[in-house]
Amino acid sequence: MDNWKTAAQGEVYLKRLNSLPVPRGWTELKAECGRVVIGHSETGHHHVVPDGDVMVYEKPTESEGMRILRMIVKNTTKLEHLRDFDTHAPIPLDPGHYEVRIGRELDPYENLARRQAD
Amino acid sequence: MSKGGGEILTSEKIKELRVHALKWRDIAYQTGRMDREGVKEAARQLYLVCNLEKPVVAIATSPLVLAISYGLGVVLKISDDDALQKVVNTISDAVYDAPDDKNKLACRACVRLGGKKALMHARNWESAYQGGCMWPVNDSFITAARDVLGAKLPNPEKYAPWEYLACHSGFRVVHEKFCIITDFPDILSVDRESRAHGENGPSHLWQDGYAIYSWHGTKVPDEWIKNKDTLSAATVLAEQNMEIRRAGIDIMGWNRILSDLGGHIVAEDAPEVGVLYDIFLPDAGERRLLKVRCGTGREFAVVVPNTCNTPLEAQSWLHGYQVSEFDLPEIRT
Repeated sequence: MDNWKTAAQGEVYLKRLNSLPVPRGWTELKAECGRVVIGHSETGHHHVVPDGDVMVYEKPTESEGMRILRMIVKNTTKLEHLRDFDTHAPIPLDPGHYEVRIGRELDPYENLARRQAD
Repeated sequence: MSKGGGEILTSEKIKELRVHALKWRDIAYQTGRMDREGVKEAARQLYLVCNLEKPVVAIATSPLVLAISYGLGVVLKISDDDALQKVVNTISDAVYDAPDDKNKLACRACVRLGGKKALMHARNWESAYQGGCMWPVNDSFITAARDVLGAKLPNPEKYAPWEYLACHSGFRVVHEKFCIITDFPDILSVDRESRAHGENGPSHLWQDGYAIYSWHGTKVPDEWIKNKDTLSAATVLAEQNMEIRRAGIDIMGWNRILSDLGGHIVAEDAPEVGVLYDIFLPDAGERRLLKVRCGTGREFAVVVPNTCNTPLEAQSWLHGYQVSEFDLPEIRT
């Protein structure tokens, strides 16, 4: 299914947008080892997109545990999950603009929202 | 010949590739003792083909000893094999003798021998780490291309020592002056899907007693396996890493988790949207918990604000949307 409007790969939620300019002050993510890490994992099981196919910008401040990104896909590509087992299947990405949100949860002891970590 | 000009894989070749993959799986899961002298010589050869100076080489009994010895190697600047091996053995003895907290006693031994600076470098051991037999993926592909498909490697003599170490040794640290290599574990236990897993004991146990506990591929705290029967739901839910928390829930089972927490259903939706429970967490009080199935079919537990009254409201909150602006994902993996 390539013409989706919303998709999720684990804790990464994607929403297709109309082509909107990236708001001022958002910072572009740098590639690491030829990949842009969309969702970071403590254990190295990152969610990534190949460098060169996308430009990804991050909202400067996390709002209540939520990490928000804007992704501009230049060439057809896919979001992949780097894990050998229990792997989230790749999500196809057509050229266009996307909002990406990394899920959050409530820390029951601190009563504060925090980013989901895996 | 295919349209692109490449050879099409025959069924015989595919069979051979499967056998080859199994061979490398077995290499990754080796236990017992490695050929120390052979491995040390291969390490020297590896430095030689990389045009590096001949290193000082020693063997460690476990990855913990490897990491600590790396820090000491950086600080002590030891120039012969025997002296480095003596230092490594001192750490091995400290780890072997430690009844419980092997990390703590290994760190103490490190500070005693090399000061706090050595411990600081030891914490950075991963920067100089190579996986040996536990990094089989690339080598299984390279050797499959060579041995099954007939590819010619450009510099086979340069690959030879790397391949030997990939087949015959464990983790190693490679520093410009020294190389320390870990022996195989005594126990390496996996589940049916070849993921590290120990139902009632460690998934990995090395000769000095250093152990790793895993649950279907996820590393978990030792106590969760050692004291499975007394593991509490509150302990599991206090874990911040979702994968480790999910493994803890799997160890305990949802029934025991919910019974431990006095959980009762607030609202229910499709499994991928979730079931919302009220629970009581010691030190946190009344909380709302969403049990949700992800695209891989596994079930996770996520605490959400008590203001969420339906799984859909909880899902919206998890992604920072109002319910009115949130759409459930059309595809979920």
